[in-house]
This record gives sequence, C-alpha cells and structure tokens, in this order.
Amino acid sequence: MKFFRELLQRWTWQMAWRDTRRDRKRLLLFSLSIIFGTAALVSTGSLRENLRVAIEDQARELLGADLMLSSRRPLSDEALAKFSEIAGERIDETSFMTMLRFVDAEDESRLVQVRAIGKGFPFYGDVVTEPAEAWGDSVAGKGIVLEQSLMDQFDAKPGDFVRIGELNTQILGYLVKAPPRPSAFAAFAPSAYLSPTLLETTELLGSRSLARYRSFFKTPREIDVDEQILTKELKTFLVTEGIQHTSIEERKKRLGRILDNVYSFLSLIGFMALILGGIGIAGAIHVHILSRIGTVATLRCIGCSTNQVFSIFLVQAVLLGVFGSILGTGLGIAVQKAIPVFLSEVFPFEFEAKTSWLSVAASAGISLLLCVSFALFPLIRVRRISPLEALRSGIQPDKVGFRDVLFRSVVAVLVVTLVLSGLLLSPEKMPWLGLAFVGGLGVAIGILTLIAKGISHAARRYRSGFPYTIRQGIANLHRPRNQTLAFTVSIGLGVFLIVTMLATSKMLSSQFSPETKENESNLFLIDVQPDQKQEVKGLIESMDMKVIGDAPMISMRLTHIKGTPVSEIQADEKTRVPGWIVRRDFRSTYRAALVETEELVEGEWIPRVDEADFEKPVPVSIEEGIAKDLQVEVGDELGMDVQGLPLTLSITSIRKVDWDHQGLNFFLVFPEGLLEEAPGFHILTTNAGDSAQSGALQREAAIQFPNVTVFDMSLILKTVEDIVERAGYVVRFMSLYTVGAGIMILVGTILSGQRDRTEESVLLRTLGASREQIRSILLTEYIALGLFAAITGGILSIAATWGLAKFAFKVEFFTHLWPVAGAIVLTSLLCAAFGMILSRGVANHPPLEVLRGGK
Amino acid sequence: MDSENGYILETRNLTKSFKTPDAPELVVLDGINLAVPTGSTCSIVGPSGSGKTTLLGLCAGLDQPSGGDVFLDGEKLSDLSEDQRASLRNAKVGFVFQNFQLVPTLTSLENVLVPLELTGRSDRREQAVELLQRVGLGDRLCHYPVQLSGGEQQRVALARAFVNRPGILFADEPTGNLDEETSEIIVEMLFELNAESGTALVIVTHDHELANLAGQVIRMKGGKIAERTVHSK
Repeated sequence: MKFFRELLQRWTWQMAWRDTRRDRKRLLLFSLSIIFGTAALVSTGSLRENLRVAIEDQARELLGADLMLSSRRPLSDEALAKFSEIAGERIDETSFMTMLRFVDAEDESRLVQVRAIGKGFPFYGDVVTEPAEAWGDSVAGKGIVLEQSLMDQFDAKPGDFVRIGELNTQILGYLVKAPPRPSAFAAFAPSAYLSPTLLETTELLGSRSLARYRSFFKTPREIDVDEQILTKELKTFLVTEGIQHTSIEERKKRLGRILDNVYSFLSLIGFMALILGGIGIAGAIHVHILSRIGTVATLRCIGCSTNQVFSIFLVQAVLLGVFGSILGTGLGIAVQKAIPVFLSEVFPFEFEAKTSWLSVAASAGISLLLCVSFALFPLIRVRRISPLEALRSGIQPDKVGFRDVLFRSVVAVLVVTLVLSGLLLSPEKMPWLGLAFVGGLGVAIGILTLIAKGISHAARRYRSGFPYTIRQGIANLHRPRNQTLAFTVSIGLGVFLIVTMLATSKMLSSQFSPETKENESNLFLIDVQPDQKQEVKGLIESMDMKVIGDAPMISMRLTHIKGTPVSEIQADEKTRVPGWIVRRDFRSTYRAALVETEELVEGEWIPRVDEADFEKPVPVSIEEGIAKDLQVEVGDELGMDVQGLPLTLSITSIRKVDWDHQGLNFFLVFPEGLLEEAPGFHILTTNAGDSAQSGALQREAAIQFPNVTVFDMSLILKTVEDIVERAGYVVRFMSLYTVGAGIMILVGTILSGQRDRTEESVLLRTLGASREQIRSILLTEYIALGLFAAITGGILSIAATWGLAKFAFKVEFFTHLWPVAGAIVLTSLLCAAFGMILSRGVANHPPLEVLRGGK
Repeated sequence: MDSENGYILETRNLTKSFKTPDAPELVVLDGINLAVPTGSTCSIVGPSGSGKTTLLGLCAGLDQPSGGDVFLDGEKLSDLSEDQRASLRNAKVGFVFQNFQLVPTLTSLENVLVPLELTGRSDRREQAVELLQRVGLGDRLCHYPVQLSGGEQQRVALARAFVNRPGILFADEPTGNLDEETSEIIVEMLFELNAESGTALVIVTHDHELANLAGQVIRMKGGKIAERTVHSK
C-alpha cells in the first residue's frame, strides 16, 4: 500500500518528468522497439480480421450461396416453404449426367454434367465467360455454355451446335471463371450450363433419370447458418426428407490447413514482435538506469526511500510504454489504412475501412502491460543501488538473483503477463500455441544464459599468442562489467525470434510457391485400362507434363461393419455411423508402400500377400478419419462387395492421410497380390500449366483413348491457390516489423555498455594506446559477442522452427541453413558496425578526462 | 538517550570487514569509538585506505557495520530498516560530497528543494531561494549543474545540505575538487552555516589546514583511531 501511495505522489511524477530532461530524445528513440511491437500487433490483428472476412467471402464464392440443399428428388413444397421463410432468397438447380453431341464435329459425343440453374446464380462471386455476354444469354435460354477444355477437345467454337437429348442448341461461349460446383468430385465430367427452360426441351428429365435437385439460399449476413438455420430440428427434418445440406463452413474446410496456418502465424508474429519490443524496452531502461546510478545514490543519501526512487523510474517506464503503445497503435492503424492505398496489388482482397477499436484497445493494453513487465527487470537494479555510490563510485549493486524475493516476484509478473498475452493472442484453433511459445522462450533464455556463462568461463581460461588488442577484446568477455550475458541473451533472443519467424514464414510460403504447385495434380485421367497405362503415361510425358499420381482403382461397397450388415446399421436410429459412409462407393487401391501424403499411425503395414485367398479375411489399411467414423480399430473386420465378390477385410493398419494435397488418396489401401485381377481401372494425374495445355491433352486423349476421361480440377484449385498466395504476401510483409524491433534491441544493448567502454578506452588512451588499438579491441569484443549470440540464437531457431513445423503448422520441415548462416554473419557484422558507430567518440576522448575523473 | 548526553553522533566499537575469496577477512574498521557533540565540528584525517570514508558511510547510515553500533541523534541505526534510515537522513542529516553529486537533470533551485519535497514541504521555496542567495547564487536559480563551475556546484550542494536544517552534516573531501581560492570560500561558508544553524559538522579530508579548523580531529590509521585531538575554542 505504501508503495502505491508513493507511486501516486505528485512529487514522484514530477521527478520522473524532470529526470527525462536530458534524455528525452534518446528515450523516444528507445520507445521505437515497443512502437514496432504494438504496430505489429495492431496491424496483424486487423490483417487477420480482413483475411478472415476475405476467406468467408471466398468460401461463399466456393459455394455461391450461404446454404445449399440437395436431393435426388425435387425438393418438397414443405421443405422449400420451411427454408424460404427463414433463409431468404433462393435459386434452384437441376443437374444430371448425359451425353452431349457436337453436331459440327461429326456428332462426336462426350459424357457431361448438365446444369440448369435459375437466374441470379451465384449469389456470391461472378461468372466470367468468353464472350462476356454468353452467361447472361444462356440464363435467358439462348443456348449453352461449356468448359473451355471441352471445347478445345472437340475444336468447338461459339456458334457451333450441340445436341442434348431432344435439344439442339448453339454454343454461346466458354467459361473463364466457372460458377461454383456443388461438389468438386461429384462427377468426373465437364459441365454444360443452360437455362431451366432449355432443360425442359431436352425431354431427358423423367422418372428414370438420375437427376439431382438443388436449392441455393442467400441469407442475411447477420445470420449464422450453422447456428441459427441448421437447427437440430431442421436437420432431422432434412434427414427424413432425404435432403442433404451444405453450408460455407464446410466449404471453408476446403481452403485447408494452409490458411489455418496463416491465421496462426499472424497471431504468432504479432506476439513475437511484441516480445522483441519488450526486450528492447528492457534494454532501454537498463541503459537509462546505468546513467542514473549517481542520481539514485544522491537521492538515497538525502533521504529518498527505495520505493520512492523505484517509483520514479517505474513511472518513466509506464510513460514510455504509454507513449510507445499510443504511437505504435497509430502506426499500426496507419499501416492498416495505407495497405489498400499503396499495396492493393499485394493484398488484393478488400480491406474493411473501419477500425475495430476494441481490438486496437486490447492490442495497446497488452503491449503496455508487456512493456511494463519487461521494464521491471532492469528496474530491480534501482532498488539495489547503494547510497554509498555517492561517496565512492564504482560500487557494484547487489547481484540480483533468483534467491531474491523481488526478482522472483518480477519473474512471476512477467510470466503471468506473457502467459495471459499468449492465451489472448493464440489462434482459436491452437490455444496452446501462445503458451508453448512462452515455454519455448523460457527454455531459450535458459540456454542463452548458460551459453553466456560458458563464454565468460572460456574467455577467462583463454590463452593465446594473438596480438594484445585481440587478447584484450576477448578478455573483455569475462572481466567485471562485461556485457556477455546481456548481449548473448538479448541479441541471441532477437536472432532466435527473427530467424524462427523468417524460416517459418519461408516454410509456410513454400506451400504457396509455384514449384510446389507443379507437383500438385490438377488433371485427373480416369478409366485408364491396365493395358493402356504405359501409353497414356507416354502421351502425358510427350506433352511436357509429368505423371504425378498413378494408382489402380477398384470400386466396392461396404456390406458389414464388425459383422453387422450395413442395412441394420442404417435402420438403427441410435447408430453414430454417418449415412453417407455406408451408402458410398469406396474407390480403393492396392500398393506395396505408403505414399508421401500418408503416415502409418497404428498397426502393421502389409506390402503384399503371396497368395490370394479370399476365403480368409483380407488385410487392409484404413484411413484414420474414416476408421473413427466407422468406429473400427486394428483387428476389426469389414465386409465389402467388390463388384459382386463378397470379401471380408481385416484391418491391419491405420493411416493418417494429408488430404490437403490434391493427390491420389484413398480410404482403403490393399496389399499387392490380391486385387490385380479385379475389374478396375487406373487413374493417372498430372499438372497442366494452363488451359491450353490441359485442352491439348484432353483432345489427344479423346482421340487416342476414347474410353479415358480427363477431369480438369484447375478452376477449383485456382480459387484456393489465389487466396493462399495472397496470405503468403501478408506473412512476408508482417515479418518486417520484427526486424525493426530487433535493430532497436541491438542499439539498446550496445548503448548499455557504452559508459564502461568509454571509461576503459580513456584509461587505455592515458596509458598510451592508439586510436587504432582501441578500435581493434572494441571490434574484437563486438564481433565475438555478436557471433556467439547469433550462433546460439540461430541454432535455437532451427529447433523452434522444427517444433513449429511439426506440432503447430504440420508442414514439412526443412533446415534453412543458408538463412541461419546469413543471419549469423549479418548479426555479427551489424553488432560490429553498430558497436563501432555508437562508440565512435570513445577513441577520441582526451586522456585528460581520466585525470579529471569525468567524461 | 545519548542525544540527551549532548551527542548528535556516537559510535561504539564499530567494525567493518569484508570477506575475500582467497585471503583472510579484510578488516577496514576496527573497534571505533567516536562521539560528536551537538553543534560541534569534527574532522577525520588519515592516509588513503585508513577507513575514513567507510567510517563516514557507516555514521551516515549509508552502509551496515559488521559489528558495533552507531547512534544518530539517539537512534540506533542497526535497529532501523534501510527506508527508516533514509527517512532519518532526510530529517537529520546533510551531505556534501567531493564530486558535488548534484542531480544533473535538476536546476540549482530544484536540487536544493529535493530534500524539502521529499517530506512534502515544497512550500518552502523561499527558504531554498534564500539559501542559494546566501551562498551567492541568487542569480543562478534556474541553471543546471553543467552550466555551473565546480565551486558553484559545491555551493549549491551546501545549500541543499543545510536546507532542511539538519542536526549533522557529513562532508566528504568538500574541497577535494576545488582550487585554493574556491576552497576557502566553501570552507568559510561551511563553518558559517554551522555556527548559524547549530548543525554539527563531520568532515573527512586530507587537508590538514581544514582539519585543524574543527573542534575535534580524529586521525585514522589502519582502520583504527590513531590519535584524537580536541581543540579548545
């Protein structure tokens, strides 16, 4: 209580303000580190929010609506009435698979998915056609719009005629940007778009047709579809009506883990920049306190209590924090406002003009709290300054160690603040990330401290025949008032954080890079017969594309789960096995080894069986997610109907599959030696650079292998890639903040030792050392300090990047040796350069100063 | 109460020693008994390393002794916490240092006001101004230490030392950094203010001339009092 009374005294604040008189400019310079930290936090918060909105919009564009209902039967009036009432605007679609004949291409035909959609679709996003008016004309019933690759395949042009059933109509154009597909993999066939009225003319709709009926709804923005519309009651109703539903939440999943990672990384980056800012402030306060030892001792002599002097400097730290937070918030908001003006090309998604003041205030509050918590460390020293210092300078303050109650309290305050900030700033999907990061930071500080002590120890024992200046520079690493601990911990931590962040950003960015995309399949060649495989592969390679995926595929249906027929399971209302699993066609494969996108998590991988014995249970590997849905484990049995042949499968292993990769992933994988003779086909995948390449392959495949269907996924993939690429820019841009804060730490650390270095240098000058010799001593010391700090920080960053890659972002870890080596060299050079620049006057101090006892 | 005996400062068997890692304990002060009557003057002289400044620090409550007691105006310093000692210093003690030790960010007037402000008596601005005028710095009230000469800085320090009318003033080599002429002025002021306010003076000095101006001269050697001379007034 007494402390708070003294803290709030007018005199304390007056003294705090007076004491800044000589150093205001320097203190303002020091506050830059917290300004960078706060700005990073404010703008990452805002960027995250904008990215979230952009993703929501993108997800809406992927569906074209807020909600889609789908059924094999026309939706009942009751269902439509129920949803139209609560869900707002509605557009209907009817689609089915049929043959489309190109009249001008000698009646060549192709299986297509006909989609008849009402006017106004999609609600979100747009459809672009060539020519532009083609889409509007098709909706008005004037003709049909096709996919470009399909037209390329048949050399069709706008104006050519096509026939679907009884409808004979002309091609109006092709799609540049297609309307959203209800399901990416619903049909391995290109789409053809026409109006509902033209659909009637085909006369293909009837009781025997396998049409799908969909209704798309646009709901008011404020309504949460999953929470407010898809209530339990309505979901039950939909099940009884045989209607499936899709909301944008499910579409968002398609954007994949990559965007989750970007979210998480943006959270982390703001936190990192803020911690760097905190370290910078701690360094700045340390420098400030060093220059105030005499003042503190005098004040203590004339009766100032320890609480009073502590309060004076605490007030200064708070004022510095308030100033830094306000300016940082201003900078953050300015950056946020400037992005749409100056960097709209880099961030091509719309930015909200309005600022979330609540989030800004929270960011400013967190940064102020962290700033003051970090500042408490150097402030402890104030309480340890002896009044005797006024009588006899050079008295070392009592050592502050973990045995000290105050030190322990300050550590506790900092840990609590960091943990709270970590929790607040952790991404929603990884609430542990902030805590893990704080833990990692603690470990890093511990290791850096040990290394610093080791360096001091080694320097004490170091003997060599190097010239005097180098020996003196190295000796400075262990002598009293050495900077080894301060330098290694602060610069090491700075390098650790910055390199971790840059390496992680690089690792995440590599997910968006063109090289990676080249290895992502966007063309799927289906129905390749075993004897055609080599020839089809040859065709792909002859067109300068490489075969990425190659897998045999056999269709099968689930008949039993752990001995219970699926019909019983479906009838059982209590069952938790999702209906779609038991109804679906399992397209399975066989192979001897796991592929890149798989990881064995349980059981034994059986590569092959020597003799096919279908009387016994057949070993199979199952995907982790579907095993959970089917509620099966290793050792359980499944019944399958493989094209008429009943098989009992014994689950021998469970695999984890990375579904983010557009590769050939399967729920069930059989060993070799069993299904080679089963009726099936091969599926090959490749990557086409553009639609022309895709069209050319489709054309050639149609001529040489008429049975092979080529499915182009690039339109869907492009949507996902676009947003992911934009997110990559955001990540790289934000990294700049941490570098700014890192430089401020370097400056602060060097300045903290400047007084001692000046005194020593003046003494050496008095004893006859030349300026060259003094510079050489300083250079040796700074290079050594920078090098050791950077090497330790660099090595720690490799460990941290590995941890983030493996546990947080689940991306492939690769060691960035060059960036780490670059950071080590750069940090050493920067330490030397800043050290020499900031000490440039040291060698020029006249020796007379030492005789006068001042500087 | 010792103060009732007429002593503003008394030490009993005061010792100070330091532990050293490789050598036996280093004894800096060894059984010092000292008594300074209220309003009197006392000088401590001796060669470097004899323990003069250590003794001053202990007497002023700036450091803790290894053994023995210090009584300042009747208060046993070892019974007080550091903050209580600080409060006692504010009320009863004044300091003059060899290196002046003015707060560089405060003006002359602000430096003199600090001891008053610490006790919430900032209304006594006039008293501070008067003291500065008394030491000849009436026209330098708003100057910062760097804008003053050494002698002027020491005069500000004198004004600061006397502003709260202390019972005792400790001066550590008050003329050590000054030329002869300025030293004379400072010494004159020091003794004048002592006479006017009845403040006891304890001066640590190498200057024998200055030392002999005091009523009691303590000669230190090897951490012990080698000689004690009392001048009759």
